[in-house]
Amino acid sequence: MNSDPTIAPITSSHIQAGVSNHGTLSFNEQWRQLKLAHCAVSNYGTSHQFWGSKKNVHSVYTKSHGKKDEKTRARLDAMNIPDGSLVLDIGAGPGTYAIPLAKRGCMVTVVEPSPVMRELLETRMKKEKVKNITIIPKRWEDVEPAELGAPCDAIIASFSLTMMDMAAALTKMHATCKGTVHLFWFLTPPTWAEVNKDLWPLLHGGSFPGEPTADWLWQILYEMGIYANLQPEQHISLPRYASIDEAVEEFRQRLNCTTPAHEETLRNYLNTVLRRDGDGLILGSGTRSTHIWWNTMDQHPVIRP
Amino acid sequence: MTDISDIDWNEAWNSPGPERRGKGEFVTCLERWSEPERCRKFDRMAKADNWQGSWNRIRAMKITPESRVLDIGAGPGTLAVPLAGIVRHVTAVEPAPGMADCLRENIRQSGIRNIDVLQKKWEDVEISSDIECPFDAVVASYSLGVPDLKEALLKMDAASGKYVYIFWFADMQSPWRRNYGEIWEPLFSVPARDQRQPNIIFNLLNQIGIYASVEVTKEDHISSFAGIEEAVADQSAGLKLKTDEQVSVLRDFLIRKLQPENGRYVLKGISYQAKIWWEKET
Repeated sequence: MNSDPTIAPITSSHIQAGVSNHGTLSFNEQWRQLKLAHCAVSNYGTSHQFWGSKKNVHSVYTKSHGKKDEKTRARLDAMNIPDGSLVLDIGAGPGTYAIPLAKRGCMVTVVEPSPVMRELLETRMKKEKVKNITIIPKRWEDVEPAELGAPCDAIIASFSLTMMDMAAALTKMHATCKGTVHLFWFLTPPTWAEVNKDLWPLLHGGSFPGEPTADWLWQILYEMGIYANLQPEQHISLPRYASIDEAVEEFRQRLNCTTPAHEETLRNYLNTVLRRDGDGLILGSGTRSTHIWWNTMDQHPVIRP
Repeated sequence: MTDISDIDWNEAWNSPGPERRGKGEFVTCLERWSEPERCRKFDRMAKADNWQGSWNRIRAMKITPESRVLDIGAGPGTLAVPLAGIVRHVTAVEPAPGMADCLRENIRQSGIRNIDVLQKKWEDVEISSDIECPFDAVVASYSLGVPDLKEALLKMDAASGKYVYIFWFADMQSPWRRNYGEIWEPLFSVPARDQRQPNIIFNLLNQIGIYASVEVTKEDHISSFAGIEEAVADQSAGLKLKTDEQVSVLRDFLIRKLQPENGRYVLKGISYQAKIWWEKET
């Protein structure tokens, strides 16, 4: 995490003096600042742009199905959503949870801003003969409560928490659910963020801000007066590639490589950091993710101005 | 904009927080339990109905009849005594003389043979010589009023071979602070905006690389009184009120909050209790 050397480290008296009053210590504000820092990085683009590219979506989503199915099953088990529930899936992607839940009789409303994802989802719906999924083609931030209909029994936001004002996004979720809200997010930084941190300065100059992690997310809920459960996942996710070319392809997109010099730097870096594991190559030290959830009927958040 | 990763969470724990009453008065865990009568009253409540209040916490821990458990800040044996009946052995660490006396008395009265009492502060315990590590489960239930939380947590982790459990207030507030939040400022002159503390235990654990789980349970609290004056006297003692003005503020508040029920008056409150726990990576 980048720290501004001109600001003195916080002391306990800062904590005493003003948790949310001066905004000096607010995890929601910290989250917002980090997302803003991403916007300031030239050439980076937004997640909307990233997931709007067919190439990116397919390269990230269509490899290693086996492991993915295992993780999906584990997360569905952890959420334990009863068959036939009313479910809201925010950033549903290609229907990772929406499809299996719809097959179990759930009425699923999907919020998905990426046209490429929606196309994948619709294709899968046809293939699996699943009809009880409604798609709202918008970002969560732009969805009006009136569009959502009756309060749902469960909300899922799995690795889709790209909102800048997280407290606002979570408040909206809490207000529209009469049941359990389930969040899945990174507890330790995802590998691609670490790669971006290393390479961005070399390719484009300037620094790349890290990705906000789930401990902040839990604290944002805490600041709102929601005392959520948190369970780190057993599985440590380690990106795997069949070849260095596959890795180069993925990171060329993420890092916005546009020149041969960029690609050479990337290739040299990957050559150094990729490690052989059986018949593949692995990258980084692994990412731990976590499940955060709370029952909206038990908690009474304080809505701060 | 201050960077949250610069915060020394350990220092924050140490400093007088929103629980302070009036300027400069900070009560440590040990000081709080130094009056024998107070300990005896707590002891009576804790063992009511065969340690009724303890079983939720005991069930929340992964223990077996073969387990050896370390109970830090065991009090009068709130967890240690009922645990002793279902595990192999309990080592109870309890520094307050009043509490340790109640604990020994409870052990003697129940004929328990598998509890060892170590009357020492956790920060003074030498894990290599005072106790026999590793334990299958290390638990600290509402007992982390220690000066160096980081050292305490790391020591708990070192003493355990498998599980560590911390039971604490999810919102970092005692039920007193939570239920009287509305009148805390008029009672104790602590401004409302100073009263919210971040969850330091959670932040400190993540900062030192222990990715603990958090399980939150909502609890209902009901106290019942014969009348308003009994309620005022009882709650005033619990809040340690000193002036007539404070008692007056309390009385006005209770008149609004007490609800008649079956010929008595009840005070209802809720609290959020957290179980923060982890399993050691082998």
